[in-house]
Amino acid sequence: MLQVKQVSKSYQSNSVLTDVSFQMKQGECLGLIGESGSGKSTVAKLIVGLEQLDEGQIILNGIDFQSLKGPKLRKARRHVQIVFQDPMASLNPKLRIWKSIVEPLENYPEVVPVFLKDVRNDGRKMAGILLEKVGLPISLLDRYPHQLSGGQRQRVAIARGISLQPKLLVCDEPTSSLDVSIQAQILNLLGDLKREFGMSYLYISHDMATVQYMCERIAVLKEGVLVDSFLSDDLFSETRHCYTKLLVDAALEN
Amino acid sequence: MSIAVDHTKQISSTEEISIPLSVPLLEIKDLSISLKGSKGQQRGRLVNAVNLAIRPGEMLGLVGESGSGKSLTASAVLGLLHESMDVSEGQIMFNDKDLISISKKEMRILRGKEITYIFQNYQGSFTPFIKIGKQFIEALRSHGKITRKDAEKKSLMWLERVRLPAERIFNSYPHELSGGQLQRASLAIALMFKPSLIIADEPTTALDVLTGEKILDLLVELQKELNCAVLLISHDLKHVLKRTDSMAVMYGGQIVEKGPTKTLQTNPTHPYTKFLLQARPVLSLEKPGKLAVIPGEPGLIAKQGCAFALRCPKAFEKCGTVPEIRYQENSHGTACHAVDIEGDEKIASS
Repeated sequence: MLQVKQVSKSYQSNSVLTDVSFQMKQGECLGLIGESGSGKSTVAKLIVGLEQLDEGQIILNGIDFQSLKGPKLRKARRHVQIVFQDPMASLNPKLRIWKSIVEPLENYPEVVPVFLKDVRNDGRKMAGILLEKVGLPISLLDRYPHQLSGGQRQRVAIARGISLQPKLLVCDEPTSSLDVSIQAQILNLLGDLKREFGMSYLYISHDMATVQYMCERIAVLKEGVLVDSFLSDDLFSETRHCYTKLLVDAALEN
Repeated sequence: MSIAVDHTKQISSTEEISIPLSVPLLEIKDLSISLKGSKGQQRGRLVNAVNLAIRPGEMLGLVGESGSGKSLTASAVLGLLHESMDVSEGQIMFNDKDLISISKKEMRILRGKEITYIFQNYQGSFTPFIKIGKQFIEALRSHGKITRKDAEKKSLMWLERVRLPAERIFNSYPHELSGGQLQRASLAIALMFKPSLIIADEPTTALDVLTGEKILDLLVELQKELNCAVLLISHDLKHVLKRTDSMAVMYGGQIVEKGPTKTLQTNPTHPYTKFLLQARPVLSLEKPGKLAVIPGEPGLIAKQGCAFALRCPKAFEKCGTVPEIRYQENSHGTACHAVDIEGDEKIASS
């Protein structure tokens, strides 16, 4: 479904990504792991189109994003949504929660997700359904972001992320700023939504334990180079890259 | 009748603790921290009747989620509570001194020398416009008579011991160092006085995984060498499970369970500790199923009684009163009415 082919990117003279390639199937969860500066967030930004790549191709459902412009690009882009680490920064502080949630639906009036087809003209009702999907009470519809807790805000960001029923949801460290028990809620929620909608996740994180838990496959990024890529079940295999082994050791508890 | 006899037996056996009985270095007794009210009246309690002891050379982990009061407890030990709060009850005994009743001046002499600290926010550990070396020398000279030259020598030696390129770091400004380097330098400044207690409040939270691991390894290594005690505060159970000798779990300002780390890891008894251990993904050969979710609103704290009662599946009427910590074998203690009853039933049936 998603093909990232030999992508390179640099900011001025600093090379951030070098020749990165990977693929994803529909319904699959791929974990992208690395430390700060490894370029993992840049990969996310390139895929959702927030940054332009220097070399290579990103192909979603057979369509090369670089070849598209204007309305066609806009149409293609709706299949990719993103959830960031800091939900406070990704929600407009001046908008009520329900407005933030339906904003993508207003941008794409022609899109009718299955679970919203009966209420497609009613913004509040759509937002209500989406809130329920992420396990939040409808009473939050008229609140502002600052009136919610961190975990609730992240759920709102996820509700917004799934509103267009995208094929791919990019999650960039979605639980890094949350407490352990709230992290559990978010991870469970992402698992449920994936099963319900058959969505694919590109799950970006620095925490090996979360990635192993969430994903079927894992790719390891180090200083802009993809050094290892494998099935989660093979995480402990002898053939892992030495850097992967370091990350595994750091995540073990004994 | 026989139940009561058994019960007292159980308690008396716990007093013979298996850990070598040295006198605690730091003993926090019934510590409560409250917000000051507007007219000097005390209002909400943020930390409630906390008891903790650290022996010389021991590493104690304090875990809990945001708002559990773990950092406040540490701030109270350092005498660094925000002015809007104060210690409303209890004692903090360090050697033979009560840190709460000593003067600010005495505290200043202890803090930074006998009791040192590293924080999460390593940028704040150094003044931005003064070179690292100068700050090391200043610290050394403010805590004792030492010539500038000796101070420089000592600083360089300690920078080396935390595996930094000593000369270069000594002549650098804080902004010229990476996060990991700064945290190493903070560790050096905390260790060079050979303190008897180090308080490490989320020392690796702002660092990368591998960098953080190295810092903690270094801390453990130097701790063993200097035989100082460490209070390691972290929201990340992994670090605490991996490195500490004993640990305490806090919720809503109360300690709900404490004991040897291995015991808590393999045999947790408090419902909150159990949830915490099951709520996070653990790296393992078999993939776990769904993660345990703690019921109720995160951060919901009962105003009376057990702080966890409103979220606890085992809560019953009695939880309206604060449970006392009851000890089982091996100085493993739990503050939970439900666990107490289960324990009593077990004793009765056996």
